[in-house]
Amino acid sequence: MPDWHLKDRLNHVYLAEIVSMADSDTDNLHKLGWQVEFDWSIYCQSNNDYNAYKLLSIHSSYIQGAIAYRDNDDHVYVDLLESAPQNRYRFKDRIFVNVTDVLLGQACLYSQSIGYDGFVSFVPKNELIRYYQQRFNAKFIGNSQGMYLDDIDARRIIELYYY
Amino acid sequence: MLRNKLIKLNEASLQSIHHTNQNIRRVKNVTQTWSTTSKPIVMIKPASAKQLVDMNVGMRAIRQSMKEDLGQKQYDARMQSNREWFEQYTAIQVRS
Repeated sequence: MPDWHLKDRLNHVYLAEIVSMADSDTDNLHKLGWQVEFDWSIYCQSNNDYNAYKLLSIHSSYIQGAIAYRDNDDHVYVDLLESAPQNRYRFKDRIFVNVTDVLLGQACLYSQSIGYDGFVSFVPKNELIRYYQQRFNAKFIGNSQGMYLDDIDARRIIELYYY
Repeated sequence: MLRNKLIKLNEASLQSIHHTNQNIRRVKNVTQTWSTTSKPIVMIKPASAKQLVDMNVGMRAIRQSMKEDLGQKQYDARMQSNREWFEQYTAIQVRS
């Protein structure tokens, strides 16, 4: 069921859904240009604590992005979040511009649904720290390299992109 | 120096019709090409074991700090308000 909406560069809106990622989904990701350093199949195995999800635009089978997160006692921890090559910031024909927003929103939604009030933590890439601060109001967790979104930040993302 | 690779992808039409009370938008037939040597696309990376420990401790401290700053009563009221909003908001989405 489409619960989210993606936006393109012209502000057109597309229905989207986030569904569980299967091991078979990960087979061709590297060939499609996803980062080879990260193996999404690890998150699809049944013997780990993570839930892996893929973001799909309605009427397309292409995976627009993916996220892996887990329940972390009093918040949701996001271990990996990746946007598909066609949605990269610097790609001149970039298709969807809010993939990260929607995926983080999903983590926030899950956090809210299990009683953690929307709190989410993650480790951003160093060059994206400012991006998370400005776009999501993410804050540092103490002196660690981790960042977090609180209840208000979570609510904002959900209200923006969740149907 | 990286070599540019262009992957031409012929996508069957990428169509999405989104009905709202105000308008209907339609997009069709997008052909995508992209270079695999664009900037990295991983937005969030896995934490090391030590980072995870530090973050867990830090998150507990953040919650505790919020309670102290707001006071327990106001903190509880804020979280309760969030839960009520969440229930109503997601219920509305299901109904619509």
